[in-house]
Amino acid sequence: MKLYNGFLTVSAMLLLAAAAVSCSNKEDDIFDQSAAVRMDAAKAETKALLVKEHAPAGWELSYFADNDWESGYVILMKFNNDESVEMAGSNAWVANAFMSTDRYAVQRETSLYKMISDDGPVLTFDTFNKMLHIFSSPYNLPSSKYNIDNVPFPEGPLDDSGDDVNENGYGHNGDYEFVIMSKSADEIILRGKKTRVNMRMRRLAPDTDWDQYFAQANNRAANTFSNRFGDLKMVVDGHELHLSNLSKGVMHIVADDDDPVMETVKIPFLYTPDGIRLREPYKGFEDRLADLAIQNFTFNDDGTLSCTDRPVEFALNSSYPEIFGMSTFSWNIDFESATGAMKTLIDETVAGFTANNSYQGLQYLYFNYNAMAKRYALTMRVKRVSSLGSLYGDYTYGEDGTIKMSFSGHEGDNNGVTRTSRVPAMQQLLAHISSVTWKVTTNSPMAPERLYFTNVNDSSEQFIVNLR
Amino acid sequence: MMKKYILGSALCLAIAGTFVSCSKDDELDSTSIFQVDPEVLDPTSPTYNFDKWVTRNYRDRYNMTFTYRMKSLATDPDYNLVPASLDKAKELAVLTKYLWYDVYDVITGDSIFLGKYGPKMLHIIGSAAVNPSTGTEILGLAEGGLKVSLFVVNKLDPENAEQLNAMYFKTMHHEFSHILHQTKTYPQEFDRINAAHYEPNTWQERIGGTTCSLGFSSPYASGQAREDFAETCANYITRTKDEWDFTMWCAGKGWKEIDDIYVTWDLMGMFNDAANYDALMDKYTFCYWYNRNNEEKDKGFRTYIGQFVEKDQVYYLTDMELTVDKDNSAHRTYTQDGKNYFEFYNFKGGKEKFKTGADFEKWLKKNYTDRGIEVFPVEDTDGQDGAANLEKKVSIVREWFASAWNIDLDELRDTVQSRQSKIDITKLLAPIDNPATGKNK
Repeated sequence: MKLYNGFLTVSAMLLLAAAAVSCSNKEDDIFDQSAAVRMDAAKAETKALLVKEHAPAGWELSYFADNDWESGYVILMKFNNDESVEMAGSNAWVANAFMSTDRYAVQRETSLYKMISDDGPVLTFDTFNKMLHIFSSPYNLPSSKYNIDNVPFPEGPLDDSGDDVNENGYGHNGDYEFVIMSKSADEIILRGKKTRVNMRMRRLAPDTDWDQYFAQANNRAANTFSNRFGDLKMVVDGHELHLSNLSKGVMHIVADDDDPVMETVKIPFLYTPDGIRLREPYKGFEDRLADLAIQNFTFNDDGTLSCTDRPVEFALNSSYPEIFGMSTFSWNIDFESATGAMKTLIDETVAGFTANNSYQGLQYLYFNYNAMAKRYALTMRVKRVSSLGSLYGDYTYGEDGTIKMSFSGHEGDNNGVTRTSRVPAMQQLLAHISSVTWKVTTNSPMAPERLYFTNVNDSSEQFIVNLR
Repeated sequence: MMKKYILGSALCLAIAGTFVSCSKDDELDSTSIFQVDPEVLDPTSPTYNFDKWVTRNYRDRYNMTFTYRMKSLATDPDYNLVPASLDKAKELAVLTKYLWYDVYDVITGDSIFLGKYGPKMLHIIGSAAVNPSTGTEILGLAEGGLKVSLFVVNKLDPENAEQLNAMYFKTMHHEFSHILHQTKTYPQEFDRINAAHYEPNTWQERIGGTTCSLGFSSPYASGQAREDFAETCANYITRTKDEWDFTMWCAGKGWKEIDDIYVTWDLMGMFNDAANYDALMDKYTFCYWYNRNNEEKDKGFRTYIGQFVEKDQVYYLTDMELTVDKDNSAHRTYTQDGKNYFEFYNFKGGKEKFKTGADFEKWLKKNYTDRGIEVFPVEDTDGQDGAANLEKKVSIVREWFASAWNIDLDELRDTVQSRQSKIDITKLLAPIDNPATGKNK
């Protein structure tokens, strides 16, 4: 009984203690306001940023669908307080056109938007707008495989065996509802509610003209990369990333000596007037290079790109003279654009071929690599007959992007040597080309389809070659 | 002694309780978590006129919402859907009222019937709900009598009466039939008529001619009994007299299915420049045949005519003629100079359409019988009198509408059909587009 008595006393004291504890420690509220009130505030704050009172020229949305066969697309959006939104797009899908002349026609449409409470504050576009919802439509995409009549519409992907991919139920796999991940006066980061793809909205400068915006961005897209120069190189802290497929708008990245079949990372990207943006940061080899995240590039004045996430070089794999000397490329001399002594000699050469009745003119003159003779060559086609004639020579590359060529005028195939012997200006042209050291430059460093040859001793003398 | 301990313990607990309850609850937050009344329409909104019309004609009249701004949370997340465009939503809003709500108001005398039994939410979706594995598209859904979803609204073409009828009005009546039979069940006898012929998983591979012959008003009806019931209601109500007569005509025929991929390729224009997409089907189904000559007859060849086509759920026949060998192949392959070739035995036509049985029979007589060609109807081997089955189903539906709902099915049908035949979308939209001048109910 004594034990029982003690037990009761202890129980009573513990109870008293517990009561005292629960009284003194009142939980403070973590938030001042209830979740619903804060949600409403977040929605209102986001809307205040979106509307044209804050962004008179609207916002640029870098939009990506959840697939790895197509590029991203810029959608420009102007939001009104009354929940209407004007959108513009410029791509083959919204124009429903494949030909380059039609596919970039800027399309505009107005629809509705709303800030709703969903997975946090969500921006939804709840009536159809072609610029956006075309990428969420669940229908199968047209295919080149069955485009019998070669109808000029945009086409969906083929699989590795060249068969049409069935996109029934998915389409492009895009999103039109976005969770607001972060926001500031000039930038809002959105996340697709279904695809979980992160996308960026940037406030446009107040004087932005949408048509001009797309003209600039499309110009970048047309001229920055070329499928003729498939392989670019990016060097990050001594690691080489090989980039290919760039002209298709999906960057294929292989790091160092990784296996291209198994370890190619495919990341869609898009062009804005000031740069390119990848759908997600490239984090290809975190095991070797910590916190690598490459996503944004801006254009430099010379047309090259600088990564803004980290200082990396972004260049072609070879120098311009080496590209000029690649065995798979041929380069037409532009008869019209030369300056200085080269202009005179080219004009005289053209006149010389025109004056000769056997030739009746010079159709074209191009540098190439003659695989049969295993020599570099300057090849001509005259107007009267279609047979070609080549003169052989050699190239020497200098360290500073220069090239020295040597064409004797005596070495070549029969047509080449005979024709040169009959047109004295052609001999002088060859002698002059061979006597000068030429500096090779370009205006489109990622896709040098046009090369400028400048006399290193006389910068007023120049000639231009175009990739055939 | 024991009592003393109990008293002591009770005292301790009471003291403890005092401590616990000493902290006073905070006042309730004075800020409401609900936003300002969203029911007040903003006259500056671009959708003000439309919203006002919807409020007056749907919410106030039937206590329901016409939801044209898509709410993805109210959809099945397994499907990728897109919203309806504002213009299409307006067109559907006025058409739904004209061909569904107003019809029942007229038939039942007031808005009470639909206010009571109609859905509480009409949800408008721009795309179809496409099933990735089968490729089938859902056009409408009725869930528990509360919500009806109408899909593919962005393809709505107010100028195309057949499409409107088959894809939208039929869907409305189909979904509403579900709501009605979920409220008051229909006689079990209906389910027994074609009990052995339902194919819940493969109905989409069936062709309309074949399913009519079994006693179904559409391939979808042959999936399961309750869909059959809704399809019978909807097709009987919305198909025009000609279309329904043609359904019955097809139901009285036997059908031969020919599955030859070369025919499809040809119709897709892979062999000819002039593609004829109208006759394009997955399978080619015919209701008559003849022999072109004795040689083919002896070899077991048959030349089929009277091809059944369904486009956007509208049925018709074409003038296609297709000869097949005894293995049901329409072509033969051969090798010449080391290369493989193929040729059709005989494949022509496919461009001329017949929307009634009488039109087709006239053509058949002129081009075959009158020229001394003996034609034979395809043997009806399914063991079912399709026309009789359909008649039986319609009479059950008719009886059920009368007894359960006090509605005369044929009067309902006549009202719908007379309205369907004279749709003037501009006039219907006038109260929204020009509320000042347009007639507003």
